Amino acid sequence: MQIVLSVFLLLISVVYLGYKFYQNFIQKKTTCSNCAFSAQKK
Amino acid sequence: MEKKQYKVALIGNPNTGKSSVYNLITNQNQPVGNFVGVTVDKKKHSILSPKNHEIEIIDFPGTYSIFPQSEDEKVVFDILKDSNHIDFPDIVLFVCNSTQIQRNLLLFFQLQQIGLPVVLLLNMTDKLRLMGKKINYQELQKSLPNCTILPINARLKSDKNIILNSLDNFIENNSFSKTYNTKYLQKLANQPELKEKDTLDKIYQAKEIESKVISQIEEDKSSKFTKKLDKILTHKIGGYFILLSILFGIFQIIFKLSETPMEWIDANFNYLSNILNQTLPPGILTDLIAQGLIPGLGGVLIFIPQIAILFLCIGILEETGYMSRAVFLLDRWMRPLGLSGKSVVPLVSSIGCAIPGILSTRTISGEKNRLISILVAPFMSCSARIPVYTILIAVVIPDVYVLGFINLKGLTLLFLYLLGTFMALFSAWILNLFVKEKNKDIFMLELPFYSLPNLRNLFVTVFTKTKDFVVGAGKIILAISIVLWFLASFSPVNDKIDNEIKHLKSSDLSTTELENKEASIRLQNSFIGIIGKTIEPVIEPLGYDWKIGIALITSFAAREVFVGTLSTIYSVEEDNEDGLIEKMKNDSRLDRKKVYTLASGMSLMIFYVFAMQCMATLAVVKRETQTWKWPIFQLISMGILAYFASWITFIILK
Repeated sequence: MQIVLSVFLLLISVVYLGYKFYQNFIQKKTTCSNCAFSAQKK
Repeated sequence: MEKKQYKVALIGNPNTGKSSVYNLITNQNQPVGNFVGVTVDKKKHSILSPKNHEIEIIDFPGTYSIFPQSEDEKVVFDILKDSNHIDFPDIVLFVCNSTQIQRNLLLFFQLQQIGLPVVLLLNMTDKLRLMGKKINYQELQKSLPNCTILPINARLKSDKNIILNSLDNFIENNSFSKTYNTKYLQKLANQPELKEKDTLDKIYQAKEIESKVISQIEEDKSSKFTKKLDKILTHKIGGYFILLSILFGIFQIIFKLSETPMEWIDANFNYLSNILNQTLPPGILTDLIAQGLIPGLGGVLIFIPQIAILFLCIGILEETGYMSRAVFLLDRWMRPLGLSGKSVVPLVSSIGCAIPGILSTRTISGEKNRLISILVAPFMSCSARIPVYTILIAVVIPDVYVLGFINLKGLTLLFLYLLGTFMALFSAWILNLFVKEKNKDIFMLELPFYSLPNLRNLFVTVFTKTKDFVVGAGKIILAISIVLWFLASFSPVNDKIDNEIKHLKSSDLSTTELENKEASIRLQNSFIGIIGKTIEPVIEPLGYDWKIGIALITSFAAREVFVGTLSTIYSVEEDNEDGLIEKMKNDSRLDRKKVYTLASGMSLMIFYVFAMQCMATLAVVKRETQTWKWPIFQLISMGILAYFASWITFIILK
């Protein structure tokens, strides 16, 4: 059970980081992770 | 049938309080400041009026004229020139600074000429009163017969309903325009002479109205006070001394006030981690929580005091109007360097975060000047560097006082900020030698009146920014901590680990030493250890070990991840009572030399002053310059500069 939950957490983390990367470079929204200041596409 | 949504645009000159009106009627917490250029892009929010009309409020960047001089002003022109544009408004709420009616009315007349129905919100009437002046509203209404005039104070909650009721009246009376004269804009945009004549006519008309409606009834104490204070605060020598003293004070306060809570949070997270390790059933998930999640989370929360104090200080400087004076003082340095004064605003904004700083370069009309500002803005020390600086200062800078009262830690922090500012100015000067600008920007800096900071605004700013830091940085740091924990806990070379441990057990070591060595062998042969060891030769000349190397890589996502990464790696390696700061202080190499010395610590801080360690900034530079060329140039040039500067620092201090 612990293994399943751990792997699940790992998967969520990897997907989240991948999504952040996608959002910054490919999608139209860039957000500073530190202050959450968001920049939309011009 | 679908209910109609009415579009209401907030338009006005810069620094008239549009964003404050926007926050007032939408209950939002958008950044506001006693500072030009806080809004550089449009913002939208839908609300329901008291009479249940659906209204979309659009906050536009401030502009003096409808005809654009810069990128941010173009937003207004691009929308208003096309009545079919999705954001073309049904009504305009024109926010007017009562103390500068003449200048504000130019834009107002241009909006009326398009045929847009305009509600004139006379903001800052309290400041007008302080100047000893009075508005004759009846006369103003006579001069502007086709619009509703509302005196408001955007800081007063009660004025929200006054504005919304006027919108309701407008909608119920169906006072919308049937046709729009957008051709007026297109025609004048292409004929500069005609545009100039039209502008001058409108300015004369506005001047006439102002002279009719504004009268001086008392002595102008407010302007007198502002002028007196400006003489001191913007003095060509004394002004810089005061600016430095203020910055010095801020960094002393950051250290003095945050040290105790920082140590308290650090110790408690370590305690929590140990408790969980002991109480939860043993297994991989428990280890992940105790060694990965909790230390990672602690790595974020430990910086709440510093971040909150920094934003409180920036908020006070902006709200009082001092920030504009700081811009003015820096501007004096920019001009001899051949740069546009407008580059100062992005640089000062970058002290909070480089992203709004880079966005505010949209106010610069010259393409090349704008590019230089974008390229140098990341040198300014942003708030994400605070966690890196403060943890390293806490570890390597001794807690001593210079001249008996100047804390060396605070002084080091001030030095790092000044170094970043110097490098931004210096590199701008260098770039200016290569990039020639034909059209110099005209920089008109508005020095607003000094005012007492609004406590509610300050509280909201500090709370929102700190919450954003915890939630925003927290999510990334947690995700990276989980991935790192896996990479640090598993190995592709288990046989090698078994052999080394077998060999170790045959030696004559105490149980504690044996446990420590075993953990160290496991970590060094884990996935992360192997990656770290591979890159170690590159960073060794700078005085860093492989763990710092891993933190340098992960902090490319965001600088503050540096601390979360070290926190996770150390907790996997050392299962003891010490907090992160203690673990870093005690960490030593194979030859028993300390990893964090004054030389390696300063070298690391210098690296973070210069290096482009921020994915979001690179993405924003790509977006603003529309090419990959400049972010890649920034990444490489700043990286090379950081490497060599750190190397030299390490050699000098070794």
